[in-house]
Amino acid sequence: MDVSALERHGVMDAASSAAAVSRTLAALSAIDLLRLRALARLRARGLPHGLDWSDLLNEALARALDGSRQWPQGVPFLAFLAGVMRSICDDVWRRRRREAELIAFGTNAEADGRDVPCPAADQERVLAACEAVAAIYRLFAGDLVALRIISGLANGQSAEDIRLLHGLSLVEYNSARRRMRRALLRAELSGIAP
Amino acid sequence: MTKRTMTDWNAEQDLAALLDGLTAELLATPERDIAAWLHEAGETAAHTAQPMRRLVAAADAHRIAPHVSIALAAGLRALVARNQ
Repeated sequence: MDVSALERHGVMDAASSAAAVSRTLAALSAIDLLRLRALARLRARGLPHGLDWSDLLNEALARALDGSRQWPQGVPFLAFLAGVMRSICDDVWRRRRREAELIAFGTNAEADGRDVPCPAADQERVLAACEAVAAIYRLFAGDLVALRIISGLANGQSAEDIRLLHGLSLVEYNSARRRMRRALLRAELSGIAP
Repeated sequence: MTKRTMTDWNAEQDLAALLDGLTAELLATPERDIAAWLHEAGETAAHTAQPMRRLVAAADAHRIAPHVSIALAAGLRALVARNQ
């Protein structure tokens, strides 16, 4: 198998991926740039206090542009960046947990071997998640059908499952979904006029 | 009367599923719907996207070369591929 065959099979080197990311970013439409901002703002809702969506987006762009995160062929560009942002959020919380362990145990945690009683190992993360879930539900307050869809999404249910569970017709479901998307866009794109 | 009980709520798990679901919704929203919403809000996409375009251009301008380990791994892969 030669190099071009590898590329055809979706294996790209870091430099090629980075160059493709750079070209695609420069060519993004205004609508897709706004969509990217909305994606970053949404994902940043679960971050620790002190970190915001622009930090998250900058880090995702940096990783995609230096080739440390490679864009797999066949994956839509914004879905790729959304995935990078998702994994950065996980990295941030993993780092926080290590820091908390260092504070609790010091640098010789493994040698020491003692446990420290704690009601929840990731209290800051749990609190941030509670706040974020509540804030997202507030976005759709007053729209019972949208809230049911959101609740279904939170339970990992498919569109079909949600429809069947709540007895929603396809028209009702799609109409609520449009309202939900608008509410989401309104929240994540508010106050952005330059 | 059945007794109501409190159950453990895993907020992190719910948030993760919720964010994944809403991310999929944002990715699937048609361009015309976003444009229509902006129009209703009295904005144009081109004007509203200017700060984002600057942010993205700045990130691209400050990008660094791929890490040496990544470049070496790619070179090694090509070498192995040529010799197969």
